Amino acid sequence: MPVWKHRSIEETPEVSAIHRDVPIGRRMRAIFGMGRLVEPLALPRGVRKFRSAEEAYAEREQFERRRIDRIRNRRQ
Amino acid sequence: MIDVDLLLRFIGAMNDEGVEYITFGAIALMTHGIVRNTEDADFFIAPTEDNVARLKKALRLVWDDPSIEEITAEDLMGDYPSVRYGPPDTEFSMDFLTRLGEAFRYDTLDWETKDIEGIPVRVVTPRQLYQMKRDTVRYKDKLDAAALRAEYSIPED
Repeated sequence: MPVWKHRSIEETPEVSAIHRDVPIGRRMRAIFGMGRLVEPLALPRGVRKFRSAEEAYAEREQFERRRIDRIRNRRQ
Repeated sequence: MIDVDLLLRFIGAMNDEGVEYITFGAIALMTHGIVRNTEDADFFIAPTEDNVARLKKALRLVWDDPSIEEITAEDLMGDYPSVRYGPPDTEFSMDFLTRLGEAFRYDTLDWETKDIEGIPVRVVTPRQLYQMKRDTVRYKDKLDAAALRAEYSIPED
């Protein structure tokens, strides 16, 4: 991998988030594979119905908070 | 964690069954090159009885799960425009939407086709995805919108 040197952070060009030469599938497998390292969100299985996207977001946030609590509890 | 093989099998089944769908959210973001992890896949679907029937058939081709029958066109076309499905023995969920607020409906979305490992996948365009993410209340959506805007030089409206 080549090395670039800059005299300051301001001189450093913004790095693109896109690795254009990496096929999308490989990119997805690499990123989602890291999910194995993350505590599962543990959303319920099956079908749930929501009156709006906001309601659906709220359910997700509730499970996000539970996940954080589980991690905190294990640390104590 | 999203099981990419299962997700692609399901998208392939939707293609084979002729489901009218458009992928949005983090999966679409990923196809446009913005890297973000996610634990769900989001799909807009055309709000017709036939299309919901095709969607259920595509789901049944991948998962043998009686709860799929709970997805109904009546709900998706009526009071419940957002349905979340968590397939058995997986750690990911899928959201199926027929509308998002007042601003976004299936038939008004701009989309394009991306190829993922030989499977054609309908995804919203970067500009459409930017418009969908910029005004939500979620902080992560604002970050995604900023990344899209920078990457694709999208002007502010």
